Amino acid sequence: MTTRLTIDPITRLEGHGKIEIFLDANGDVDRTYFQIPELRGFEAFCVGRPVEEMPSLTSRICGVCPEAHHLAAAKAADAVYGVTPPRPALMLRELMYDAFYVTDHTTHFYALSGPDVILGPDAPVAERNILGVIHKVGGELGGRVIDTRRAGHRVIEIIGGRRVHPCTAVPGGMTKSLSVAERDEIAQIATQMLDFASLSLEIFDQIVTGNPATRDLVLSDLFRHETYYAGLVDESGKVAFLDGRISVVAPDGEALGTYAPAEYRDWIAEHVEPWTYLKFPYLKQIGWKGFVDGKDSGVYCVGPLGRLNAATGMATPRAHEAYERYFATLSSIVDGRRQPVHLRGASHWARLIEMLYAAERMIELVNDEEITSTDVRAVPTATPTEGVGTVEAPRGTLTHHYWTDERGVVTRVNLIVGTTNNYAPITMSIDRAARGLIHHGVVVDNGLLDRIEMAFRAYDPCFGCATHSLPGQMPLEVTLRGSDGATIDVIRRD
Amino acid sequence: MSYAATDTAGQRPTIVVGLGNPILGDDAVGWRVVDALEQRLAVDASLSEAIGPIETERLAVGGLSLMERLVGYQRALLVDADVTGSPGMIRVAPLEELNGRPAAHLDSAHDVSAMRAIEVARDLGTIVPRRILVVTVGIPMAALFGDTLSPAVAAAVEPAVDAIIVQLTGAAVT
Repeated sequence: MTTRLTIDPITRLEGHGKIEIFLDANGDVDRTYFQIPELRGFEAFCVGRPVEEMPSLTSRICGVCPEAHHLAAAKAADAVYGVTPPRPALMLRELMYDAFYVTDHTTHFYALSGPDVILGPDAPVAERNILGVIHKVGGELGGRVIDTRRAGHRVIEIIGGRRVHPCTAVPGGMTKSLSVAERDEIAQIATQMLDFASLSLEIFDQIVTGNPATRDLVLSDLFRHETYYAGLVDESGKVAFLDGRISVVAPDGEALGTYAPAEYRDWIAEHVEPWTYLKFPYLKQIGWKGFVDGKDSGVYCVGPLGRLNAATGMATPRAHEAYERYFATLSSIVDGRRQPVHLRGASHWARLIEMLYAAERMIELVNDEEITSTDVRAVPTATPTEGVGTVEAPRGTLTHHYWTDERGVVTRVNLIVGTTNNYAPITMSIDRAARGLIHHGVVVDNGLLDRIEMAFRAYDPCFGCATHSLPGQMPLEVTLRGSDGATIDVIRRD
Repeated sequence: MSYAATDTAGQRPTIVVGLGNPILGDDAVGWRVVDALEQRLAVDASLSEAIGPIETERLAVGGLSLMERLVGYQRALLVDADVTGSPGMIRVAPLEELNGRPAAHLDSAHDVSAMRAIEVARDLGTIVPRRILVVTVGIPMAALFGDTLSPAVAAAVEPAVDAIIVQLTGAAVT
């Protein structure tokens, strides 16, 4: 007999998701499914609109990372018109995006994964939330979390025109430049963000790497997968958020190669499973071998873990120092080759290193003399055709691909969002966690559910796209069913 | 019990926030209600005077981002879609009474619940509205992109504006 466990909803996950765990006759895990409801009709909604509307329109897909969609769309629209924005415009886009990264990673580390990483899954349920995190780290730091978010939104408002959903990136550049006063305000914010990012890494050291119990859990083998990794890198092979080529490395650290965003269809294919509407992207030249680890499996991982593994370092000095320390702690050298970090819990550490990089990079950008140049737009003149824009959203590589007619009216759209790239490894991590925690007969409790949730929360997944996400207070309910569908037990976390 | 009757009007303006995704069909109902409220106020000077200073906002975010937008205001009224109510059903309740009921955007993507975010603000000594009232409009589960409301939800927009005005003035709309 097969028994089915359903975890629905998943707390603190972006968007609605459902986990189903099928148990075999012995009460052990047979198979785990992670299902995501689909939002439909976006392509049809876009067809017939001028491509220059896409950056503003697509920023509305998602309330979580509108800045990522906005800039991926602007880059795709640049490519549609074959236009290269002036350097000041590219710097303004990057400056806004770095501020977004600090803001988004701050939210994830303290509000979403904080209960896992800072409090640990064994903390009392009533304290496993952002208030509990603030009480543990102290009110002063809690205030700085809020201040950092507010400051990040201020930078986005200055450069992007609005606090959350920016609207200033257009084909060929930006619609507005940066005044000296605005530059000075952002410089002050960047300094505060750098200090906050450094402090966050110190906190991670104290609470996680410096504490054996927490370290064993967050950096546990329970959440380890040997997959391929991918992420944007600059011309030096360093982590890049906005421009570059996508680097892919194998589970043993061998470089598979790099490709330009427009070549994505030569590298990525999509596998279909009957139990979900979402497709599972995989590396075409390796092939789909199922939800399995290893060099023969085309499953790859993106996001902070993927980006750091796919790169050779960080492009700013302090972040690079942190990067080296991260690999010295978690990786090893085999046959002269640095091994990727396979521990999914290390994503939290990687995220903070990226936060440090983003803040350092902001300071570099505001100190560039050209940042206040008014040369922020190259007006497109070529006949529009087709274009691809790729950025690294905080949760993974995001690609927009548009086709237009000769007037620039959209005729077709294809999007591959960050979390979709991670759909296969997320599913595998949930399955791994369930197998490690459910044995003969099964005792399901809050600790078990938390550990399963930790498995996917490390990926910072986002499927919701600004729609019906889950109440933080909604009870977590597990339904245990027999093969005939009858409910055997219901376990609820209020 | 009227919101206006139980809250002392201060120097700071009242803020009315429509929540939703403007390109996700009925999910945008919060925005459309705020649009309609603005139109009502624009043509009715006596109503504007009765309500007093008011700011309006449209947001596609909840949780901490929503809380941050409410900082410094004396009164706040949120308008959100409600996937648990029948399409067009209007309900009014204080935010704290909605805990556990999934109004669409009070529990945000990539964020904590709005109530939790308000608790964080108060815990940190930030000034946020003492009471926050929520007007919800029932919608079917929105899963299809589009920029129009379904008929049942569209028909609830003006009645939802009436409900807001009742709360802001403490008087029934005739």
